[in-house]
Amino acid sequence: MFKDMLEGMTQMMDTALKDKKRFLPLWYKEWFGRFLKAYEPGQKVIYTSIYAFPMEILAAFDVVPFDFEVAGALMTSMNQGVPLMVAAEDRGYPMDMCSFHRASLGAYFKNCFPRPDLLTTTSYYCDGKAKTNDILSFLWKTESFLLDVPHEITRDSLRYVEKQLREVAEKVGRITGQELDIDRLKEAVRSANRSRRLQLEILDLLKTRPMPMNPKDMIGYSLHGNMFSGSPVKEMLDKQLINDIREKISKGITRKELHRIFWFAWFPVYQENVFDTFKNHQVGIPMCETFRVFWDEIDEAKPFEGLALKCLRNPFIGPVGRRTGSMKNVVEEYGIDGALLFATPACRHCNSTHMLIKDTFTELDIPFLMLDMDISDARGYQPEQLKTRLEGFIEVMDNKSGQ
Amino acid sequence: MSMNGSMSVGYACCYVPVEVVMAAGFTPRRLIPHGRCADADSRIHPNTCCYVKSLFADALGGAFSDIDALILANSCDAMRKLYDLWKAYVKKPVALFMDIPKRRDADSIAFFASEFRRLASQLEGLPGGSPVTSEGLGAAIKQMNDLRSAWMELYKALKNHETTILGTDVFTLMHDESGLDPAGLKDKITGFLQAHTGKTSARNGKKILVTGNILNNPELVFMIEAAGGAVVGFDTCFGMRHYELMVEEGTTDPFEALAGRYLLRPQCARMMGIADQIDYLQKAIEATKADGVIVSSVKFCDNLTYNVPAFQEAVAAAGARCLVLENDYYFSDIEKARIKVEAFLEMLG
Repeated sequence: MFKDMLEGMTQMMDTALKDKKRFLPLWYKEWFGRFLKAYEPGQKVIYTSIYAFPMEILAAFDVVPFDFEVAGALMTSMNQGVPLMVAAEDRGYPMDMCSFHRASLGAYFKNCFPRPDLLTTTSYYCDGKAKTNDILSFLWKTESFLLDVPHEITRDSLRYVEKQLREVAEKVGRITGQELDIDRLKEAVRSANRSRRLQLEILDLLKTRPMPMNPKDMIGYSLHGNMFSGSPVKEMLDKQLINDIREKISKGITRKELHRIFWFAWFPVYQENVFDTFKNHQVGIPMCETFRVFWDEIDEAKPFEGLALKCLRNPFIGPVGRRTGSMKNVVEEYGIDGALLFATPACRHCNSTHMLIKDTFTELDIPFLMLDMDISDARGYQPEQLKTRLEGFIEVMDNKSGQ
Repeated sequence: MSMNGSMSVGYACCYVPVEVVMAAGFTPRRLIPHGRCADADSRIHPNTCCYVKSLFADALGGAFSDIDALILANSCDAMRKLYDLWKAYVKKPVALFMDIPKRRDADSIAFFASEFRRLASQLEGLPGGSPVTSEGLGAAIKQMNDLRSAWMELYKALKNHETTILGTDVFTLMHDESGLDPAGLKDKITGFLQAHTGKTSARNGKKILVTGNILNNPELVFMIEAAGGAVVGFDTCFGMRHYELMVEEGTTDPFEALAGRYLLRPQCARMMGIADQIDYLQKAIEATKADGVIVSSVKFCDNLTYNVPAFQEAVAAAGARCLVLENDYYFSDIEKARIKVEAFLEMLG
């Protein structure tokens, strides 16, 4: 079912790319293509968390990364998510669980996803992903690997993560029958460093007023683009995105933008009215939390240590200050008038500290909205209530700016 | 300050090495909160684990003014975030943070040992803290091993169908961990066991193993026994897995020995390895000859919630029946639970 959908979508992207090379269809084509590859016979499929796992390591091997959360989200975006969730709920997985994980487990029960050769994930972002990975490993009777990343950066925690990265590289090598080619890993790291520079360029372009990129695409790419980290595809996509944004800016956008908000955390993957409501009220979303560059360039001479440090610096580990730090600069640089935390109900790690995020913006005298809304399960979606909340938030920003 | 007048350090997870706390000159005190979750809702998301919310509600209300510090661990997403909230909104008593690996291999043990050393140096720096020495740790390890042995004796006795010991008695003792120092608790358990030695009673009811995460309300245990069931074991945060496995004594590196014990003991649901957790549950069913398993699951505890469907299948495969009681930590819907428990026992025949 998923495979058929991907094939159809890839064809659509080919058509969209016939006349002109553009970022969005290019990204989707690469994305769907990577998922499709996981169904090809003989491929070594590694389940992973593309938004958190150091993908540079996988890029050093001939493997196909597959993220069951993102695959489930893709199915949801094509209205196929709820039947998957129901399949999991029928087996006792309650609705209090993250809908992404219910969809992923449902996909297993409905035999939608390819068989993994190894399941890897990280201890961050959340307990739920690690648990789902563990359960799927148990159900598939396939080996799993958890990259356990501690809360604080110390010499011991760095050594601990570095050792695990060496271990997982060895494991992947064993599965593929390839020994780790250190030069290939170094090239993956070099590529990731080039991508990092391109990302900084993109972030600079996003300061343009009005916002030069569709916000849902921006948030989506900030998370899912990492699937290609360490590979030339990521660099190619980043370059194309820069071209597209530059072209849009050079054409001169006349659309008025009354307010600009900073977006925290994830986004709903089904059809909703959030982004349209903002658009209709001339509210831009120029920047999001998951697009920020939190890591330094990686020393290619010490790829494992550098990647370990990148993991440890992830803002979703450690004190909440890593998420809220330097917000003053972000507000100034991007002209932010409001902040929004997208709070899917089961996301304990993201939502628990919402008050601390709110406090940060209160100190900056910036209105804050916590948007309670499921990320993937559209069954509780109430467009009118949501619209009322969003309009109330916009009104607060209006009043504050004297509009 | 603890009841015996010594300085005390609270903790809220059974992965916290109480031996290190004792060696630093403090009395460890397991925190069993009673705060209303709703009182914390203004500061923490309502969909957060009820135990964490209750702890936070108590803290916001100043309930922990009698302890000198608190150790919060990276037990789960909610507990980790509680540390952030504590620093911002509670402040006193001061909270220390300790990481817990989710893996159980040599590298994880080495890292966990480094966390214990870090914790030791933090405790030493607290007012009233004293240097953590190998001798001090050795003595604390011995004391805790003695306590663990006493507990395991008690759990062994509870399995016996002819014992006069009731689950409710054991449950009360489990909760004494929050008020008694390890030596006092060990003496109490030993005395209790001696009082029941040689006495027999025919417990004819169906044998029930209680498993799950934190269980606070004794009423659940009362109601099982009042309805004719015989509680034969507790595999909860305070239960058997909290006491199983001794720390190796007399080693050159007591931190390493402690880390090994805490990571290799029977796992909580937070750890990776559901297959091992299922195996442990099935062995517990076999050892206790349980007819039924009651899973007490505090709402919004993802780690256990995700495990429950697999646990239910594992219980059936072990030849027992399973009742899952999701609860809000207080069991505020205890009367609904009573009906379910009574029906469950009736179903067991």
